[in-house]
This record gives sequence, structure tokens and C-alpha cells, in this order.
Amino acid sequence: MLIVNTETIPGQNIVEMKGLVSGNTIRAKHIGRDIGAGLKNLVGGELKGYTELLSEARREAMDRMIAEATAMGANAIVNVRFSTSAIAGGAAELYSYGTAVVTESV
Amino acid sequence: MLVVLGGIGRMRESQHLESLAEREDRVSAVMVLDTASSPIGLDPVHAELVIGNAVIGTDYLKQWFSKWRNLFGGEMRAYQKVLSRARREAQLRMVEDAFELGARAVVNVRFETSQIAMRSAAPEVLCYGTFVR
Repeated sequence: MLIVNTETIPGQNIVEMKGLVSGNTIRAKHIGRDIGAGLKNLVGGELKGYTELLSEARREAMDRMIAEATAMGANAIVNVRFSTSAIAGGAAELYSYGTAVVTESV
Repeated sequence: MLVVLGGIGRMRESQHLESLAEREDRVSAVMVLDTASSPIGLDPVHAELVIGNAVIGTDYLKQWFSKWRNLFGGEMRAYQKVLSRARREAQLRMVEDAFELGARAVVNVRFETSQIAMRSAAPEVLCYGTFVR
């Protein structure tokens, strides 16, 4: 699966548009990580636990988007966008969406 | 106590800025653009998404000063610095990934900032784009 956030793919022709695909996940923070991050926050600097948690969760949202595109028979997703929002109860939603297309090499 | 935390925070900040400058130098050959088209003269044969993110917080002393600042208004320098560090770090992680994959440029770069649920200010910056080679 070829994934880009541009509308076109160099070296590929889009021959069919399959439509919008998306994937999301909502992650709650682990209490241990939260306490660690709280301590870390006293001295400043990167909160690695959160960075990793968010990038894993984003990967998961993307995997769901990719699965949807695969089920539609697409071989690429163009114009991918991400969105992150904090929702109630200390959890975060990671959302990823794009347009599933079929491409052919030029 | 506050001053000690502030001192550690300041030290960590300057270490981070040094490491940023060093690593940015290493990957400076990769052009970064927020336009959808590739740089003129580059005719890419391959393109792929690259992502970088960072969650960076400020130290307790600065958080405490910022609370006061919040009463009188004006620029919050502490948070301004933290956000620009996080943004540079996120962009750099994206570019480093692209560099490893043999990128000549990263195009259509987008930034997104979000506050993940926590009382103190530790925003996440996400940076993504399409690398071309």
C-alpha cells in the first residue's frame, strides 16, 4: 500500500478513485506512564512515554485506514490527513483519513 | 526547590537545542517544502509518507511563572520556547526518517499541535509530509 499526503504520486497514474477511507483509535493513558510523565514534567523536557504512546496509537489508526482501503481493492491512499483530539476522561483520539485509489505505474 | 527544578530545566533545554542543531546539520541536504509539488529540477520516481512527533513539557519553575503571566497577559515565553522546540524535534524526526530512506526532499509538510489530556502544559506536535526521491 502506497501512502502519500499529496494528491498525486510521482511515477504513478491514478486510474480509479475508490473513495474516502479512515481509521481511528482512542487511547487512555497508562497510570504508570502518567506518574512518570508527571515527575518528568517537573524538570521539563520530552515526555517520551507520551511521544511513543501517541505514535503507536497513530500507527494503529493508520493500519485501520489501510485495512479499509485494502478491502475496497485500492493499492494506494492519497491526500492523507491526521487529526488528534483530547476527549473526556484523559483519553486522546487519533484519527487518520485519506482517499483510496487504484494506481498504475507510468 | 523551584529554582533547582528551573536550573535542571534550563540545562536540559540547552542540551536539547544543541542536539537539534547538530542533527539538523546532518540532514540539511534534504529539502523541506510545504508545497505539493517537488522542487524544480527534481523528477521523483518514488514517494511515501513520513511522520514525526514529540511531546515536550516545560519545567515547574516556568510553569509557575507562566501562571503569574496569565494574570497580566502578554507573551508566554516559556511555552513559546517549548512549542518551537517540539516543532523542530517533530520535523527533525520526520526528516531523519526520510533521510534514511534516501529522500531528496519532503513535500507537502503539515504541522498539527494538540493538547493531550493533562493539567500541565505538554503539547504534542505532529509533523508529516511526503518524501520524494
